[in-house]
Amino acid sequence: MSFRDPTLLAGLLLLLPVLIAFLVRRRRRVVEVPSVLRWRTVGRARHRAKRFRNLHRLLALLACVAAVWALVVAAAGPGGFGSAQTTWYVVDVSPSMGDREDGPLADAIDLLEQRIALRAPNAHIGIVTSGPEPERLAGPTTDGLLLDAAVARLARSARSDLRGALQLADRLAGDDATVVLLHDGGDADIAATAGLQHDVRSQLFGQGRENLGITALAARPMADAESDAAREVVVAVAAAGERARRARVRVEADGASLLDQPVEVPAGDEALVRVRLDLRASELVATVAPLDELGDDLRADDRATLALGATEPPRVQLQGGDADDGAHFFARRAIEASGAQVLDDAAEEPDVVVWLGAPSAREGRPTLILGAAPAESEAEGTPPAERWPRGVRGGAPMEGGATALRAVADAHPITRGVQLDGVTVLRARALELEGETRALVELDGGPVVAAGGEGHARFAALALEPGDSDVVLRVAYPLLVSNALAWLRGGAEQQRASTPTPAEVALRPPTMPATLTSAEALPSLPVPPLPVAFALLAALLLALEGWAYQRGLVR
Amino acid sequence: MTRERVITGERAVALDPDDGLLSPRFLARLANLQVLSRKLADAKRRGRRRARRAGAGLEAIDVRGYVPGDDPRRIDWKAYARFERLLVRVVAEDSPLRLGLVIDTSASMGFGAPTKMRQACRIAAGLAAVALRAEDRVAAVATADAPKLVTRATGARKGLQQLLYGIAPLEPGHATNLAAAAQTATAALGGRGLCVILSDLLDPAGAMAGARAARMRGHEAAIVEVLTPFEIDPSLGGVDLDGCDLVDSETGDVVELPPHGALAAYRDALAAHREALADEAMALDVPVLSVTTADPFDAIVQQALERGLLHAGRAA
Repeated sequence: MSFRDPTLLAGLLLLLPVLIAFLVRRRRRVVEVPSVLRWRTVGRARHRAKRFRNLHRLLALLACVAAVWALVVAAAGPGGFGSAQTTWYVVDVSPSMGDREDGPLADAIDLLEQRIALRAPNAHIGIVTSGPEPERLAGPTTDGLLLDAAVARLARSARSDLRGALQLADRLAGDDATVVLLHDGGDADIAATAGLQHDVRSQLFGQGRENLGITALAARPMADAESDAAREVVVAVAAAGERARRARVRVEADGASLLDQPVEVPAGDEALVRVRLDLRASELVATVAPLDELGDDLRADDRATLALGATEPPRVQLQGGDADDGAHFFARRAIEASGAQVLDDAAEEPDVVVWLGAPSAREGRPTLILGAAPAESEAEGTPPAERWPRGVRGGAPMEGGATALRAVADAHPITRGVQLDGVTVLRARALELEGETRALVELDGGPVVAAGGEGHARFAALALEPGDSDVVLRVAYPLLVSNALAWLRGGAEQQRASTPTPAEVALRPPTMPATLTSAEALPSLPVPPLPVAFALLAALLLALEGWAYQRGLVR
Repeated sequence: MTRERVITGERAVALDPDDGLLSPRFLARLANLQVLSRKLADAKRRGRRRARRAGAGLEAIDVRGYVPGDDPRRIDWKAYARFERLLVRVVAEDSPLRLGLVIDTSASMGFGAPTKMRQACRIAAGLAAVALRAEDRVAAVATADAPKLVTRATGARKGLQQLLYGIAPLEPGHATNLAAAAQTATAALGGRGLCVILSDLLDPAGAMAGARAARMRGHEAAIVEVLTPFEIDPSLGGVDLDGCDLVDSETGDVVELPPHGALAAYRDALAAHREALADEAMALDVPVLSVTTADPFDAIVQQALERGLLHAGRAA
């Protein structure tokens, strides 16, 4: 057994006066009388057998000696019987862990301080913290001052690379070392997926806490929007815990209040709040605050921001077609009606390229194809698969009964609100679609409107020939063109929402993954700690001896 | 201590001149005494003592009406002449008294100077001498762990020698069981008689256990309680008992006395004990003599006369 302060074992010298006091104690006078029958009411009877009395005295002496020994050992701070052991503690300091004063991080620090205080003298401890960059704060060392200083440096961090911290501790730990993760279970599978060589023992904090927060903030164009600035803003509010919550949701656009209303959030579920945004704004801010008394243990997810994409009209470059052609005329009118700017200078960089007819070359930017008839002069030499955007190309022409309208995808932003009933199509060219490309308008002979691609490879194709259909005379045509340009432009300007990442928000009680050893596998500490156990033993022995004297079992 | 050998018949019993069980001087002083039984004795052998039953004695104790079968010689003719009725004289039969002596030989009797045991033996010897002189029958029983019949004596001279020879070597050192000893004594008597218990009455079964056992068998009983002056008044021993541990000489039990007031509490306990003893003795119709080891023999005899255990004068 090792001791924190072995010099206190000198207190065992206290046993000498105990033994001396036992040996030279004042003995009671003994008078032999014929019988004690008539004395029983006068005094107190005790055991008749002398050997039992001596045994009681001996037991009392042993109890006293053991109590003094236990007290001295407890004061000396026994450190257990274990061998030298190295333990690496990885502390999650993500926002969901809370502050040092309150929350899971405070509990983790308490546990860490306890482990440091009660460690065996030869036990080595190392501390790694997650943060923007994983950092070794201390160790492995037996120096309590260094470890205390490392614990004092633990603080919540806005960003937390817990995976990196685990990997750092895994690299620092020796073969026989133990890695302990102190976290709130926000990313329960992190230890299992970090590719570690050591088994990670996990200690969870903050289970069962009440949290209310924003899990999503989004804005999207509206189908029936009257202006480009019209957006639908969606706020998703979630609640952890076993009880439904009442909260107040506020949404502001560039400081102007859009929404301030209470909302009921089901237990362990989400509630969606929608609001219409009719003004041009560059930033949306959503906040949520509890209206009930259950509290909110995590403040980091109570506020979310959304930087809206630019609402400037796209710049369009027309390609192909004949400027004197009627199709060109209707297309340009429709493009200009959507607010887009048609670039006449070929040197300028457009936001969207509009092909009148089948494209002659694949552009590295969003592309709108109006009409699918190939230009005879440009169609030779390059195969269609290399001229059309990936996922679509012109197909076979159709006419007659094959041009009857079959289906329109009303939910897509391009066709949402577009009325095509009664449109006369004499001839059209069906589109051949591949992959993720989606048909938006289908005639009996095949799709004529389609959209697909991602980012700069986005495309929309309207295979209705202006000269062979009256669609250009209808409102539907400029609407289709406008929607397509807005959709193509939106794909290039991603909206960015600033909400807490799932790893930082424990909206539901964390579950213990099967691959992790549970809290029972934390490095063993004497339970109860040895000094406390020895002190309790001493108290028990002294109480027992006092009881024996009080009952007269020992004199 | 110098000792002399007292010759009692063919055998000699070692007695010191002061503490001898019976010295000739005491024997002379007991000459005119007899053990008094409150009821008439019953024995097959004839003696000097009147029996309650009608017998062949000389002294008429009662008259009753004649019933067929009565001895016509017992008809009181003078009464017939006076009352013209046939009356029969009831004549007491002279029969010996059966005297059982129960001597407590428990360890607690070894206390005192002389010991309570010695004092009890002296009293037993005196009672036996008185009884044997009246041609009564005496049986002595010692309360050992298994009660033991010491002697069964008859005859004034030889019987006394036998009894002294039997009780002189008794030594204290056994447990107390007065009831068993009383049963042994009454069984040895062969018939109903008087059972005298000489003890310090420190019997775990109760002070009156022996007397109660004798009474249950139809015997008369008497108790001679022998104590030491220390037991009467512990302050006489010159020992401050406050805070002491008292050890029972028989059982080894220990009683811790309080630091203060032990003596007064003991006196109260002793008074309560004696009061309870007197009540129970009255209920059982048992005379109780309380003597100490320091009491002179004359005082004991006087107390016996007062309590009706002895009677002055020879039996008729």
